[in-house]
This record gives sequence, C-alpha cells and structure tokens, in this order.
Amino acid sequence: MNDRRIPSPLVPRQSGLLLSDWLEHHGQPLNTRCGGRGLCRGCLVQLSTPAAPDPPPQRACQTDCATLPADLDCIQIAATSIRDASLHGVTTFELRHAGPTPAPRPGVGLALDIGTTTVAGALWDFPTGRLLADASRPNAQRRHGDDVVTRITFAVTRPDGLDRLRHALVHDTLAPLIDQLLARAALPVAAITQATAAGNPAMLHTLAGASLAGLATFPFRPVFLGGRTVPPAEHRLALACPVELIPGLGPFVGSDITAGALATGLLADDGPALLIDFGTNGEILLKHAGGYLATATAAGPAFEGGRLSCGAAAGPGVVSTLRRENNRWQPRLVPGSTGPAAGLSGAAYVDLLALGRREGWLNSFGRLDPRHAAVIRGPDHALRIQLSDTLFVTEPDIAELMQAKAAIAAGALTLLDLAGLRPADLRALHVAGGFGFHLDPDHALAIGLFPSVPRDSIRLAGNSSLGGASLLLHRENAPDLADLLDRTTVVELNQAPTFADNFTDCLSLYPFA
Amino acid sequence: MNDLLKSLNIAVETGKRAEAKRLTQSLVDSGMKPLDIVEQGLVPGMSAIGEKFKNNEVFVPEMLIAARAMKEAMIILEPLLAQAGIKPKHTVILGTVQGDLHDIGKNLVGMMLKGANFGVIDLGTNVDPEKFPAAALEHGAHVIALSALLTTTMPAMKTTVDAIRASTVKGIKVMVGGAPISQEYCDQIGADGYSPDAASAVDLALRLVGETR
Ligand code: B12
Repeated sequence: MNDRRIPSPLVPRQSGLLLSDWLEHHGQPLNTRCGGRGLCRGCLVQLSTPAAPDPPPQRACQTDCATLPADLDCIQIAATSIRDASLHGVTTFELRHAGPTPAPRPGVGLALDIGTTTVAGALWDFPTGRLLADASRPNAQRRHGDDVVTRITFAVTRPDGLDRLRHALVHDTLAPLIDQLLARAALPVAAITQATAAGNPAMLHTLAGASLAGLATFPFRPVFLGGRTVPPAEHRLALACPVELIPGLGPFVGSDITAGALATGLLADDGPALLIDFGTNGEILLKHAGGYLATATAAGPAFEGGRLSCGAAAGPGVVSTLRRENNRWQPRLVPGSTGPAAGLSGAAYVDLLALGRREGWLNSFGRLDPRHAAVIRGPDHALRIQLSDTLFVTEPDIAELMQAKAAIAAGALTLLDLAGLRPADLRALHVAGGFGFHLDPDHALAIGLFPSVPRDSIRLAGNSSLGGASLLLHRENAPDLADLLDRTTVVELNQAPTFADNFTDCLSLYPFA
Repeated sequence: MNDLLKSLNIAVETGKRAEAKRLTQSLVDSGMKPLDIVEQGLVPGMSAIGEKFKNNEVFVPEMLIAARAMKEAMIILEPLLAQAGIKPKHTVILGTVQGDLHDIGKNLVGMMLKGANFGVIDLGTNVDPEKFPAAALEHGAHVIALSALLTTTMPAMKTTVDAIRASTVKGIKVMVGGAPISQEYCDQIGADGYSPDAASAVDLALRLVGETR
C-alpha cells in the first residue's frame, strides 16, 4: 500500500476549518472512523516542510488549517488513512425458505439491506418472480464512525448530527444504490411499487429520522423496534411507494437477523441451529426446542478489517485467502481482481491464525514464536509475520482478532448454555455476511471461531439479510416472521452469568469445546 | 509451606484456577494466616504477571485467566480476612459508570489492585454518580476508580467526577480507564489519573496514594 502525497500550498489557512474536512471536500476523504473525535489513528497525515520532510504523523481531524506550517510542502497521507472506497458488500444470497410460493402480481419490488459497513439492494419483477438487478456500496455514514455507537454519539452530541447521518445514508448511499439498480434493470424509479428494508435499529432509525438518543446508553429505549412503514413524504428517497422497515428483535439485534433467519431456512431446520452474522455487532440467533434466543456480541470491526495494521474489507485487490507452501506465503486476491495486494480480509486473518497454530509458530494465547523462520522482528523491533513487502501481521493485530473472536464465540456458547445445549448438539450453523464468504470453514473451526459442528452442517449464507428482505416483499411470508418474533427471547449478555467466563475461555485459539 | 506458597504463585501466574483454589485451601487448613497467604501466595504471582504485561511478554488473555485464578483464592480468603478484621492500608471504590454494563476490564483492574494489597469495594456496573462519593465516605476510601467502555457513556464519567467534586468527600483521588478513555479525556474532565491497562492501573493507584514501587 502506497502513501499518497498531496502538494498543498493550496490549503487555505482558515481558522476553524479542519484539515480532514478540507481534504474530504477536495476528493481525499480520510478514514475518520472515530467520527473525528481524535481517538483513532485513521486520519494520520504528515505535514512535510523543507526543513522537516518526515515529521511525526498527526491527526487531520484535530488539525486546524490556520495552524499549518507556512512553508508546507506537501501533505502525506498514510495508506491506512486513505478511505477505503472499494468496499464491496455481498449481494449474493440463497433462498432456502420453504414458505408458500408467492402469487404472481404486477409491479417491481425493492429489497434493501442496510448494513453498518455496506448496503445492498435487489430489484424483483413480481409477475415473473425474477431478480432484475442487485448491487451494493459502502455506507457513507462510515465517515461518522465505523461502529454504530460512534455514530450514535455523533448524532446525539451535535445539533445537526442526526441530520448529517440521515443525509449520508439516504442521499449519499441509498439514492445512488437505487439509481444503480434501476440503471441495471433499465427501469424508471416510478416502476418500483413496493420496498422493504432490513437493518439494525440504529440504521433504520436514521432512515426514518427517529432520534438515536434512546440507543445511546443502558437502559436502551429505541423509538421503535417492531416494523414501521415510512411514507414517501418522510423517507426522502425518490420512491413513490413507502419503505417497510422489517421488525427487529432488540436495541442491537436488528432485522438483518430476523430477515436472515427467514432466508437461511433456519426456521425449518430440524433440531437446534445457529445463525451467526459476523458484522461489527456480531448478532447471533439460536433455534432450540423451546423457541429462539437472540443476542448481539459487539465483536467490533476486526473481521471486516477494522483496526488492524493491514486490515481491509474483502473487495478488489484485497487478499481473501492465505496459504503456505514450502514455507512461503501464497496470498490470493479476491477473485476477479489483480494488482499489488492492498490489504488482508478477515478470512485471510483466520487463515493466518489457523496456519500459525498448525505449524507451531503461534501459541494458543496469540503469541508469536521468535524461534520460527516465519516470525521476524519489524522495524519497531516487535515480532511480526511479514507476508509481502507491504503486508504484515503483528501481535497486537492478533490480540484484536482474538477479542472479536472471543466475543462471538462466547456469545454463541452463552446462548447454548441458556438453552442447555452443547455445540455438538447443533444440527446446522448458518454463517451470514460478507466475511463468511471467503472463509475456510476448517480454519474457522480450528481456531474456535465456529462452534465445533460437523463440517457439512456449516452453510455459508451470503447476504441473508438481503435475501430475507426480498422474501418479505411477499405477504405470504409474514406469518413466519410473526411466529419468529413471537417466540424469540433477546438475551442481554451482560446479565448472563456465564458470559464473562466464556469470554475468558474463548480468548485462546483452541477449537470451540 | 514454602513449596505450597511457591506453587500458589505459579498457579496464579499461569491461571490454573482449580490449582489455585486447592492450594489456597491447603494453606488455610495448615493454619497459615489469610493475610500472609495473600501477601506471599497471591501478590507475587499477580505482580509477576503485571510486570510481564508491561514488558509485552503477555497480553490480556493471560491476565484474565490469572485474575480468574486469583479470584478463586480470594473467594476463600476474603471472608477470613473480614473475620480477622484485617483492613488493607488503602481502599479503592471501583465501578462502571451509569449507562454502561461492561465489566470484564473493570474486574481485571479490581483483581490487580487486590493483588497489590488494595482493599477494593466494587459497586458493579451502571452505577449512579452519587453512589461513588457515598461509598467513599462510608468506607474511608482513598481512591475512586471509574471504568467506561462506550463512547456514549463517557459523558457519565464526567458527571460522576463532577458529583465527586461537589460532594463532602475531600481530597479523594479519581482514576479513570476503559478502551475509549485517554489521558486527554482524563484531563478534560478533571480526573487525577488515567492508565490504559490493568497492570499500569496498579502503579497509578500507588502513585495516587503517595506510594511508589
Ligand atoms: C466483551 C464486550 C461486550 C460484552 C460485555 C460483557 C461484560 N460483562 O463486560 C457484551 C457482549 C455484553 C457487550 C455489550 C455491548 N457492547 Co461491547 N464489547 C465487548 C468487547 C468485545 C471487549 C471488551 C472487553 O471486555 N475487553 C477485555 C478487557 C480486559 O479489556 P477492557 O475492557 O478494554 O479493559 C482494559 C482497559 O481498558 C483498562 N480499563 C478498563 N476499565 C478501567 C478502569 C480504570 C480505572 C483503569 C485505570 C483502567 C481500566 O484495563 C483493562 C485491562 O487491561 C469490546 C471490543 C473491544 N475491542 O474493546 C466491545 C465494545 C466495547 N462494545 C461495544 C458495544 C457497541 C456494545 C453494545 C452497545 C452493543 C451490543 N452488542 O449490544 C452493548 C452495550 C451494553 C452496555 N450497556 O454496556 C463497542 C463500543 C463502541 C463505542 N464506540 O463505544 C465495542 C468497542 C465493540 C465495537 N467496536 O463495536 N460488549
């Protein structure tokens, strides 16, 4: 990954103007993922002058343009600060739902999956039941934070916060997504007669323009959790029809999981089954004899590449698979892309952890063994794995991944505990989300990311949230949804007695007991 | 006896909780004073792991399992210490601020403080601001330690510091921590000290009560 240099005597020395804002407006948006609060390292730049060509990096979001050096030569933007514009969400899904076949009718349906990181949409032709187009793009809200809570903070601490979040979602994200879908299907916007949207409550609240204040601190009180129909006058999209928001389960367990439960066929699974969505919020749904248990584990963005030295969301130019042959690294890029590898996807990190355990240079606590040839000391003298000239993995990266892994694994174990089940009792494991797509299930089993279930009970479901939103364009599927909502208990893991213990146990790289 | 103590140190340091429990019980049964078990059996193990953490030799997972082993020992020892009327020299009031339920990091800080012989009164999670100064008064505490893990509950940390400063408890030191907290934020809300992890939290607490290691 190369740094970018902006020759910048051009920046106005205006007081009150933040360097990060100026760069954003001049086509160089940075990774301001903490919402511009000066907490992360996503907007580090170096301000080079003739006297100091290589000064220490500083945060652009905390740099007032009035304070820039008079003899500024150029602004160097570190590769890790360049906002990832190539984010590609997954739009493929499988519909395993065994519901009634919807009757043909006139019209075109729009299904939306509003994820924290990416959004995706699908257009359906009702008379034929055919998929007309699908597309995805990054959620432009990311400039206000890479996790929901950072965005909620942004919304509640600034007078115009909610409006800016809403604008980023509706105007900068959903509107172009819908345009793209319509262009692919060669249809005018007036053709769309019905629309559904799945997403976590914070996303659906911003779409509806509802206050996020109730989602900020415990006890959480969302404005709405059940479904809601947002009329054309309120959704601010060009659509002439309302957008039906699919009901969610809890303040952080959104309708992406309800929709996913429908699309994956989990409702009809024979025996205990688990659905895990490896997004930032790590939502989990367990089907057991008595009903359903749902929770969110707050894994953070590590599996989407967030907060890791060379992490990136799986997209063109990103390593999706890692292998080692004859002690040499064999990184493979996301299929269909070429060029120098721009980063490592979550799936590639899982490969690395599993290979490290197998070859013995990584211990169960996530420490590298300096005696092994694969392990070297970086310029910072700390141990690391060097995969190529630019790609490497450090022990702190591994620690971050292990926390995310522990949160998800401990969440799943805790739901199993509450239902009186063991991982071996599971008949199916549905893995939702883009992360699952490139993942090697054997590696996920080896490091204890997945509960130990037989390999053939693992189903990589793709974007099951988009699949479920598509199914819910049809009234025929409403009864199944109602039944799921009725029989689900949401678990607050903080109040579950075994969670903390499970978390500690899962902070090691052993298979899931 | 010495062998048992040495084994207990190792059991704590390497996080063998069943071992830690068994060895502590044996030491109690052999008639050793509970305070001596803490000082010679637990403190060295916890400070060893704390040192290793500071030197980057171990990470959070090892710290957590060590704390868990120490907790097993403390479950046996704490009632005995209370019975014997032993009061540690310094007491810390610990809690997660209002609106926040995260406590794994806070509990680790608590265990490390106990491992350095501080008395720790843990108020739990989602604690109202006023409860901190009230507890400090009741227990004659020297330090209040606040944890917050959500960016949305950072303001509650400020409210808590304000409540402490406005209360009748005078001269008490406030230390803060948690993943989103920084030294800058600590200064901004007028707390007395910040530390990024549980190992350095012990040094900070010692510094705040005027002792150094
Ligand atoms: C485990 C976890 C949970 C567990 C908590 C279980 C429990 N009993 O604590 C569960 C799943 C229940 C949970 C719930 C939620 N979580 Co959570 N959670 C985490 C996670 C994965 C790890 C935290 C942890 O325990 N780490 C291990 C400990 C040892 O580390 P630590 O807490 O940082 O503590 C160390 C230091 O910070 C310091 N320290 C801590 N306290 C103190 C105090 C003092 C005085 C000092 C000196 C030092 C100090 O010392 C500790 C040891 O070295 C983090 C992600 C992360 N990477 O941090 C998210 C994270 C904190 N959670 C997050 C969120 C959003 C939530 C939820 C709102 C969402 C949800 N899924 O429902 C809820 C909120 C519940 C509530 N009201 O509090 C976000 C917060 C984002 C933000 N911008 O604020 C995070 C960062 C994940 C993410 N990126 O999205 N979570």
